[in-house]
Amino acid sequence: MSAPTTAALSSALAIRTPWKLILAYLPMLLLTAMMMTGGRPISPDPLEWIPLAISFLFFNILFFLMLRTGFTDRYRVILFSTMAFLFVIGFIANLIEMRGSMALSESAMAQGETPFCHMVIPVTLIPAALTRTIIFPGHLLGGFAPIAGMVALWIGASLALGRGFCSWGCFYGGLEDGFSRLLKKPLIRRIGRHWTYLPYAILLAVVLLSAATLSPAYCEWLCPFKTVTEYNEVNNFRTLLQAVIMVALFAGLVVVLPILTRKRTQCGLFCPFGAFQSFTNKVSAYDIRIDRTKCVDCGKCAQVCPTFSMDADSISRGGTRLSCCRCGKCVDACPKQAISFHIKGTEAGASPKWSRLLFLYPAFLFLAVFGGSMVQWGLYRILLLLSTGSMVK
Amino acid sequence: MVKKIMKMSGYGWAIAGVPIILATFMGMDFWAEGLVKATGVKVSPIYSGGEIARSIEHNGYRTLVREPVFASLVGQSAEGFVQIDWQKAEGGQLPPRLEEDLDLHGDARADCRVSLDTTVPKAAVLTPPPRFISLEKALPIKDGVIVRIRLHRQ
Amino acid sequence: MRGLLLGLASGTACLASCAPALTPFILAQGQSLGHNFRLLAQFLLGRLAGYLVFAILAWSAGLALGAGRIGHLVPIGTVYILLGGLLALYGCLPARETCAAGLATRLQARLTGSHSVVMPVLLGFLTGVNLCPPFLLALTEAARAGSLAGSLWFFATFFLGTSLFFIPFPLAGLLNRHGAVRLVARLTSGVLGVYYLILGVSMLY
Repeated sequence: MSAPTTAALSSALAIRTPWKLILAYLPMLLLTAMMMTGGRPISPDPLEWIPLAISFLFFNILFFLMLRTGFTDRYRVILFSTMAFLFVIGFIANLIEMRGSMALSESAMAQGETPFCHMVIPVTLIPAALTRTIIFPGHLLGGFAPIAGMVALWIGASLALGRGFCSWGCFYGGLEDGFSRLLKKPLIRRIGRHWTYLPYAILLAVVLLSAATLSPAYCEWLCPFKTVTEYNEVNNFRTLLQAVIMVALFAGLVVVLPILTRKRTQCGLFCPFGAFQSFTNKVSAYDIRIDRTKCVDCGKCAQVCPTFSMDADSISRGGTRLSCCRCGKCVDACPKQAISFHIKGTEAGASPKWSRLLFLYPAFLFLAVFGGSMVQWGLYRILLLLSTGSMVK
Repeated sequence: MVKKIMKMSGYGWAIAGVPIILATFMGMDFWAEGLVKATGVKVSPIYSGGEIARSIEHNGYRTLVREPVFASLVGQSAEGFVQIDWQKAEGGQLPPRLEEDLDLHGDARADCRVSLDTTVPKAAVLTPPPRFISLEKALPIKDGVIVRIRLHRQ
Repeated sequence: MRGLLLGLASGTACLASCAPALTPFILAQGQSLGHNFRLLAQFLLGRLAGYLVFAILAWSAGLALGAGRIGHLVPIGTVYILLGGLLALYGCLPARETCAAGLATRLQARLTGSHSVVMPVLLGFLTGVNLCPPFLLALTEAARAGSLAGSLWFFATFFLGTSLFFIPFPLAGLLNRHGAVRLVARLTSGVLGVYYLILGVSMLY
């Protein structure tokens, strides 16, 4: 068999036999149909059924292509980035409809109206363990993005996917994953290896600060994604400073550096949640392995890895660093098909197609259900704009 | 033998991925409620304002005095606050201006006197309570106004 | 609690800066895990002595300047900016340039065959009185304590917080990941330094 390249139409992992393809594809079609509709009859309102239909087709066509071609990342990134951009549209429109502004006022915080996101989880753990309280101005149950609901979601995703959550679920990661694909070649190639430890340092710092101050230090000072979701109302010097920091971090780490480096710089060099989530890779059933008998040490995997999870050390050990997000880019890029998804406990390189499929099913299902809802949300707002001239009611 | 067990466990855990995802989404409310019940966690009183200690009924509105909050990671902090909520009663209205004596510690004695302009809203302390630090600005909420009176613990 | 947490927060800076000098000393001396832990105990005793000396100095400074004036927001903001800047720089400097223990290690190297308890205690004392940025921050906080007992208690808990980071040192198994731990510790002190810097700036307005 000749070695396929990334420009090839299919890889060695492609399922070519028609009945095998249908057998592999059909369950996902049924699962996504069930989960996307929630088991309820489809609404006759075009503003609801059109986004549902588009999402359903969009996700399932791309899953079919994943199976048929054997490439993972090239289709995953389309879904992942679309999810992130439409999430931003849906979220901002929702905020404006609810309270007239993206800015989070002290009144809104006092009433527990702040939606909870997964990024806060690490800093809440020590205070929760010692005081049995959650240091976040949200609500525990019910409503939009409740604390307990988001934590439950995170636990399920972590058990199944480990840090795969960062490539198949995080609605922020899709933004920089998208920006990182704009240029064909990186303009900045060398980033010092020591910077890949910064996320762990930031994690330690924000966890300690949050425990000391009983406030979510990361949200207050360091989260770049407040720029496209919600942020503290700017009404004094402190909140102005917070706003400047957040915009600078977003512009630098989420837009500019990903474009220049073709890497997910926020995820790989900054995100403390990502550092925390790396440890859940120990729980997940899947990892990425390199078959050293096939590997020719070309370094292509390290070049393409968006989160700096491949280096000479890890390649020589036949695997990735702890920070691997299971995006599949290295698997797609390897010219010798030496890299594959792997089930822990089994032999490296054994049944790569089957191992990949076993990983793809929970990962894609999570993306389709979680991401699918955000795609529908964003499409709903776009259709509302097209039909009424405004994204908000 | 060990290799076989490892292999079976690996495949077993991998296959469990889809049921875990399905259970997560389909039972999210169930898991969330279970988490809250099992851990007994609440939103920090620094953000929620604390539990309601006393409710005083007035004509068209009520005054809710919450438990003092001196939250700290371990023990209690040296400084904290007491939150007061002025809430519209069903079918009622908050008066445009009010003055009220407040019992902050539940000892049936007035600790301070506060005035509130509910239209702005703006609050002022007319008679400060013992160990008074400052009055935070009044915040409008859905059915009324809240104010926090900052105090030293001792 | 604040002393303990400041110690925990700043202990990473101590770990990052002092580890390159301390680890070779502790491991070169020790022949068994028990011996290494004894050395660590002596070292920590010396550090505690250094900290308590400075607790007394901090209290005296608080008396001289006035605890109320020390608590004034603007000077504290300035102190936070200076110390945060130093801590951020500290996080970026190569570790061997910033720890006084380096001098002690070089002295010790000349005393070949010495197994005296004086050396680890002296090493600990030198690290204890090292005017590193987290230590200076602790000085400021302790000076605001207002009483000698408060100042001593603050430094004792600060010492406890920083010491926790030294406990795993004698464990040889950690050596494999030692480089990564030190790097993360140094970067953490840099991040915390940036935080204090920003906090100091926000306190000025």
